[in-house]
Amino acid sequence: MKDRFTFSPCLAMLVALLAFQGGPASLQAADSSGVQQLETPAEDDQHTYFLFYRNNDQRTAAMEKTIERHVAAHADEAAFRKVNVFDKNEQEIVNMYDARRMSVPSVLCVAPNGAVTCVYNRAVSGEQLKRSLLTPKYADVVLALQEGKIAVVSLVRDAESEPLAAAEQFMDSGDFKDSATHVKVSADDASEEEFFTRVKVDRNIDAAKMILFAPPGRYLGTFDATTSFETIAQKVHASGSCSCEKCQEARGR
Amino acid sequence: MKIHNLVWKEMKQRPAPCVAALMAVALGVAALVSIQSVAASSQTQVARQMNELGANVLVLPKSATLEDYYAADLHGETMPESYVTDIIMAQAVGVEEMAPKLCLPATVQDKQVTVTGILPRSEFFKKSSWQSVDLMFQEMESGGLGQSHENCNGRTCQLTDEAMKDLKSYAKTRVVHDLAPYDLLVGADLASQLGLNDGDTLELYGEQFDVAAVLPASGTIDDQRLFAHLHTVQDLSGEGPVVNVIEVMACCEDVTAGLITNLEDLLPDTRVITISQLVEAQVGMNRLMSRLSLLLFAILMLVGGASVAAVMFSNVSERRKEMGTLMALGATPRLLHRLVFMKAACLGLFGGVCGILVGGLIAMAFGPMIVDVPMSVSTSAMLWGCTGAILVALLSSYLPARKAAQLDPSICFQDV
Repeated sequence: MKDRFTFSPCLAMLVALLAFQGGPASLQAADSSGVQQLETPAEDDQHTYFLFYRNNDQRTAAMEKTIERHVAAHADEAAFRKVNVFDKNEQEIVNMYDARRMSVPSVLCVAPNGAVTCVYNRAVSGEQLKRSLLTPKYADVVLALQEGKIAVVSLVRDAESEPLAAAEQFMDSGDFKDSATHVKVSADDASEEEFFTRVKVDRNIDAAKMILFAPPGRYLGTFDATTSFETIAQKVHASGSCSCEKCQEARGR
Repeated sequence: MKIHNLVWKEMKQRPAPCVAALMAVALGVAALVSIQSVAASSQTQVARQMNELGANVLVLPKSATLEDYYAADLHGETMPESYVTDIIMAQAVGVEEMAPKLCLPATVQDKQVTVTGILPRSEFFKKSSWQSVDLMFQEMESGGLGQSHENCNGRTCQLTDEAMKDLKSYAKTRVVHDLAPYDLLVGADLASQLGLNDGDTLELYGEQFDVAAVLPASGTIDDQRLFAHLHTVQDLSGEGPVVNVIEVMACCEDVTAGLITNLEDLLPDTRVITISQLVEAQVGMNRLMSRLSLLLFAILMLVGGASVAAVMFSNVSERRKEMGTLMALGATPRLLHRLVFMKAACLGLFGGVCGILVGGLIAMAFGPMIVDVPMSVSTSAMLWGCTGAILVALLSSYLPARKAAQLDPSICFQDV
């Protein structure tokens, strides 16, 4: 009997300590790995923030606090997991993002489609975290860039509207078809409002527009129907973004 | 009899003093040509190497010492590989390529070899692209290409052509685009010693590796090395995520100064040095050799000039009767002037040519042993040497010529 009485408070303390170490239960599932958590919020269209750390030092605590505040403010869009890079149960996620070779503490955000939307080490601000929450189409653009492709973004009035002829020519051209991804974004899609704000295009568009981004995040320009495919292609080659021979020549290589 | 025939006959009749003066002049020219040629060839080699290596920057552990660029990873000191990620994340303007390396000894077929872990550039692309959102934001905000620089976008270059994907290009570029975890690149000399060819397998650290490419000879220490994926080398050797050196290829010289400051601020626990600093000793040595050759040339030319003057003075004294006879027959002092100067010019010219030949031969024979670079004879040293020799010979003959021109035929005949 005496042994049971002394054991219980210890167990309670241990549970409390583990709960404190693991962070709020609402933010982090204690019985799942980072990879499992990555898979779960993806179904819910949530972004997942991973805080990779080695020691619970001041920097880690400060970053954790910032992330927790951000995630609490965007509970429907974001989830958070704190990952010790030496934790054997977390090696899958650590290896997936090569966290052992990053300066820690580091925060990395993964969009539901798998695109990494931010990585910061040692410090992060609420503003930076807010910027890492992307609309679905924006995340598609970022994923295309992370796959090494040029993102051809067609901004159209509604889902039925046709993109620019130049965009279609771009996707069909021999120079770019294998190195570009087409992302169509409708102005009437309320979930993409933030995307229009970020690319500085008014949602009340009459005619389609086209924006080009090249890896890793180069903005090549916003074009309308007055710009021909040839002009756009010339601009892409001049920027050296598609890695073809014309680009190499344009960059004097 | 024409004046040049007179000069030629005079030199043929008294060859010994002429040869002595000629040798003194030739020695000076030979010293100039040989040393200048060695210095110029060394300078050309340094410039060529720098051009091949680009505007390179080396990031080393603070305690590492370094003398040779090609052995920059052989100091045994390590630093965390996370520094590589830090450089990528910093998106520093001018960083075009990076090559972190970890160098370790290993035994292959009972032979001690050096294994170098290298990181393919595709790894950098992946991490660099994690910042896509921030980069897009910056560029949309600035309305242009952000922190750009002429001919480069100021960030890790993601241009990749087929030539860059060829593993053999590593020998020249020191950057590999992609490398499988158990693929090996083998240096030319080592491949020949171990009898390895493309497609062979090799046991290393107890694992089977495929020889993905035997590299062409580069004439550097790399010809004796094995190259494998950095992370594989780290894991199999148990060294953990560390590197010995991070080579940063900057896009151009213009951004190097700013880049070094950025890197020093970013990685305060490291030493950041440029390839120019590394070759500074060699450049300093070349400069010293060049100046020494000029000093030696000047001293030997003084000796040569004195020798020519002595020869000419004695010649004028010995030929007083002949000169007096010429003057009695109607030769003007101007003709005697020309006679003496022509002989001096001939001595200078022959001495210069002999000096160029001897200096050139010395440079070609001994230059490669001294500075270990292919030699070519310096054209400017040849021109300066020959011109200098003629000028010195003419200048040192001025007084003897004047003495000859002032000879009085009547006094000359009194000696008869």
